[in-house]
Amino acid sequence: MPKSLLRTDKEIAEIYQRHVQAVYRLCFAYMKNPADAEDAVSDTFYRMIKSGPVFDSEKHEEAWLMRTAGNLCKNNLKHWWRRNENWEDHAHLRDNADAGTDSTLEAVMALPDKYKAVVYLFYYARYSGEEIAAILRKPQSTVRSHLREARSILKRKLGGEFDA
Amino acid sequence: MHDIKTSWDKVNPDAAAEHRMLNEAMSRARAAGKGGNLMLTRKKYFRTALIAAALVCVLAVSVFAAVKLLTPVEVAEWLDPEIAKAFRSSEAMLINEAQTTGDYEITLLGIAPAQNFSRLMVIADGKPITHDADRVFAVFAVRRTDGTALPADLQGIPRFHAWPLIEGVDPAKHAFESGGGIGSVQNGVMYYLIDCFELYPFADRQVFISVAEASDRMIEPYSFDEVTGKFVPNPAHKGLRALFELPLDQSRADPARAAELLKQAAANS
Repeated sequence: MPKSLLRTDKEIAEIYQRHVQAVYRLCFAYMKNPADAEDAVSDTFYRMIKSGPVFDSEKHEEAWLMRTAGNLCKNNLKHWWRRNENWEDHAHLRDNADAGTDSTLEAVMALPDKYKAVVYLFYYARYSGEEIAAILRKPQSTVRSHLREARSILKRKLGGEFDA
Repeated sequence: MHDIKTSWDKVNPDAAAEHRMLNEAMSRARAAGKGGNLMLTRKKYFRTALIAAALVCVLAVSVFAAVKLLTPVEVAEWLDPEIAKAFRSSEAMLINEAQTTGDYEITLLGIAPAQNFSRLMVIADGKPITHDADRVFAVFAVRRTDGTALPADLQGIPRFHAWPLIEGVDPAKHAFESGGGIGSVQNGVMYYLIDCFELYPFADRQVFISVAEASDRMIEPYSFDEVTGKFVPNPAHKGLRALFELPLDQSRADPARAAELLKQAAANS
């Protein structure tokens, strides 16, 4: 694959189309509303265009985008005005995302931030623990314990019907 | 049965959002690469924060008539007590400058410098990106001129964005860390508390905050004039807008720090 500085608009658009939904969902999990998720997504792709990482494969491409998106979201969430927010505050924006009042999604959104990327990559994107560790550059043991703790929270919130 | 995958399938950007996100990323990259001849964005945090913040903590709406605007201290108080402390300090300024745009009145209620905000320090990538000496807080009120209250769910009212502008600094070529903001409706009035990370070093120049209606096409409400270094209303922006000059204490200007911030911002753009 070419280095991004040499990528044409068409190539950038192709990468974008391949991954925008996955990146958007991860950003939504962190930011909890479409407006902030959109900003995080465009920021992620801007970083990709500007910094020009070389990708070995589409998997590598996706891993880079996921890690960058997660880091950008976590940075944004450290700001004091974010700490004052919670999921319930965004009922109106949440509905705009067509997410409705899905209790599972609400429970995932309410998870502590450190679990969100792991949960998303494992349960939605269907990565293995080893792959997630590589994507997020975390030890496998950390990924495993985050998954275990997140699963326990979700089970507590959603009851015995939680389908891991 | 709860299934995370099925739930997450419902979270999708619509086609317009997909187009917008790609367009913004590519336009920013082009602007950075070609010296900023495209009119785009350095104010992500502000824009982001206000869109989100507009939905925060919507309180009961009552009849607007004769509603007295809250003071900056009162606004800050229910958002963060530490910021309220800043607005009580001797360096805080009450301003109460109102501008009318369309059917709305926007009032800059006051500004205050940050002080000993260790708890409110913003850290990104392991490094602090806020410094008390640089940081300014501003409180705005937005209400309708006909006296009707803003609705509790904010349906049908414009989304306002706010961001700082500095005389002589082309925003298309400088991406500051910026800041953020939070807002709430109380008694039919929307209040915004804006956190500007990097303004005091520029206190020897004219420094503004633009408050304007969001545009899906990312049209800037004010254009930078490269010859004069001033900002002028952009005729392409058809929405509501107001520009407030901040009366910053000039003794807090720090040209060396300003030069450092400009260098960083140029590299980030």
